[in-house]
Amino acid sequence: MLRIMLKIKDLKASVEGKEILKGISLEVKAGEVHAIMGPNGSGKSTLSSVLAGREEYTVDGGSVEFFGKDLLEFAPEERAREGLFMAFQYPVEIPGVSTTNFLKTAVNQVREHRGLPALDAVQFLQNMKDKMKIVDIDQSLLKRSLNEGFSGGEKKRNEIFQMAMLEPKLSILDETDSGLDIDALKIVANGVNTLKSPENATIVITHYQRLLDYIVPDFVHVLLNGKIVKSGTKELAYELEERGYDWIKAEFANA
Amino acid sequence: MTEVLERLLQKPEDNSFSSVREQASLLIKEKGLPDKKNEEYKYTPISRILEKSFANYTGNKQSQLDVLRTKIPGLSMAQMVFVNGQFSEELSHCPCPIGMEVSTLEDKNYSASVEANADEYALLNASNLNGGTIITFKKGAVIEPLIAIVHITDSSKNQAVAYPRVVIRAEENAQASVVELFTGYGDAASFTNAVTEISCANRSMLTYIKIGNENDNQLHVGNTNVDVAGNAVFTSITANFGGQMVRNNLRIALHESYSEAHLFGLYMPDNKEHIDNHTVVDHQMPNCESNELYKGILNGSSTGVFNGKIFVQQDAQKTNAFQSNKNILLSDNAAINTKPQLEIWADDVKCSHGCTTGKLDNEQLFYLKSRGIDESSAKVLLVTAFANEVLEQIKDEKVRVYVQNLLHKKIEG
Repeated sequence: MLRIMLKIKDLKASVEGKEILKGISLEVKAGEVHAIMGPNGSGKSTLSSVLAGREEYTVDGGSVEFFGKDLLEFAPEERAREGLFMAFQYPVEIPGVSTTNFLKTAVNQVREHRGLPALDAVQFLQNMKDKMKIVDIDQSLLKRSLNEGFSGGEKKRNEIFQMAMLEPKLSILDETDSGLDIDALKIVANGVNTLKSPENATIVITHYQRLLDYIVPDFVHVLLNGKIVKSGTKELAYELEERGYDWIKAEFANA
Repeated sequence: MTEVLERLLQKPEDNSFSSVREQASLLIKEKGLPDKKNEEYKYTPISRILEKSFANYTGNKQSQLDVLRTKIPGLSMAQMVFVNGQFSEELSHCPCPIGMEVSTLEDKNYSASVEANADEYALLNASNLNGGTIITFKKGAVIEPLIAIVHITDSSKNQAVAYPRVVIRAEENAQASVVELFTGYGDAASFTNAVTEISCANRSMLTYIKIGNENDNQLHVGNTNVDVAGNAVFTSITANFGGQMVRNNLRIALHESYSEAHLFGLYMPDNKEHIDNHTVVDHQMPNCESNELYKGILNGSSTGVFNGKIFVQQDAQKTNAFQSNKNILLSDNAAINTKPQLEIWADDVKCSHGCTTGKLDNEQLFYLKSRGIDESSAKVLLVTAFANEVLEQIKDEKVRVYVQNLLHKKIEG
């Protein structure tokens, strides 16, 4: 029996008084890859923002359990320490703060929470070097101001590198494919696949099926107008690629 | 004359500075200490606080040096220590590097310049002149170690007033760095009224660092006057981490061609503290350059003032002058008054100025928190990154680490 990791039940959320999520239910078990697809404005980014704990979003109803604990009660940093990781669609630039610089604080605060001893400078560096190989990232990039002047590919590789360093249980990839050429996409996908294990799970949020050629999902869910209207296997993604979203919209409107 | 001014003017004793003191006290009695109506001190009503806190001031009490030795962090790095403005041989250990000379003002027949248009507090300092130090970096000398001076204003037994005066002279081709640290000990009110006079001769390179780590019972007015000769490079770094009310007047005259001035500043008041930086860069001759960057991080209901004047005189063609002031307000109750003033009389110059004031970026904070970093550590990371542009100018590692620690303590509250 696979362990239930994330249990979203009838989740409703709004931003600035506008209702966006209108009752989402989803269960993710260890070892699974879920894809959430949907057209622009369907609520994909809102879902990832609510899960990561952005303050601008108000949860109006429903519940989210993470390993049986109420995720919505946790501050963003507590969610990360409990094992949730968000790869951002648009990673922010932070002048004067390098990846190496903040990641040492992050890794050790996360380790402390998990009852692990802090890494010293040498161990941290060794750990970094091992994880750098996973996404083929250069150390010089990690010493630069975070995301300042990074290419689209470098930004996303840096996100997956951080994921490798923080060893999350559940990773949410928010439109990680946006702005990536095919080579960068392959590197990022390869990184995600390398990190995959029976103990962790991934939610891939995307508009296009392309990324799913490289990160193969066990389940595909279609998000429309704040609700999951259809779930299936990876074949559903192919169908969406071929036929677009209109037939689902029509089907849903008639229902 | 207000009563407090009378109390602050010590009874003239006979010393080698009698005539200077007399001249200066005549002027200050006539002008009075600047009040709110004085444009230069509009936001910094230090005379009002002096009136309140020093109404019963009767002079400084003797300090217990052995207590100070254990209570003042950073003392170990100091070659020269002054307590309430007086040189303390017991706390100092100045092995003079070759090429550097330390003398008293008396030995050098020093004469303070007293001018009617001088800052009122500079005149007050001159009215109480009673010794001081001249540091000379000899012609061609390259002094490797940073020379550190610590000023302690000790108000542990009673209110204290200090009038330190330090003169720094870099002779031709000399290279050196000096740090002056102003700090305090004790809970009673204290007032440090400092004057530092600096001259950089031809082709000299001097870095001057002023660090203020004062308590919320301390008032500070510092006047730093700098003369820069041809082809000389002067760099100043002014970092303040508190004090009830602090005012720094930094005036730099580029009075010969091809001289350079670089001015960096960092101020971090919190609670009800107030830090005011007034700077003047006076471009008098052609082909000189000045760069100025002041950064403020304000918390609590603290206030800050930045006033940066740049004068480009008629002869000062081909001047390059840049000024920038950036502020982060960590609280809704903190405020900054910032005012750049450029007066340009030459027609072939490059000058620019700019200022920004904002809050910590919420997106950046959220990003760091989403990686498992708690709010206070995330703020430390972001504020340190903001301050680093100034702090990395401090090349001496011991001093830089000392300042970084002050900064961390200040953010963590």
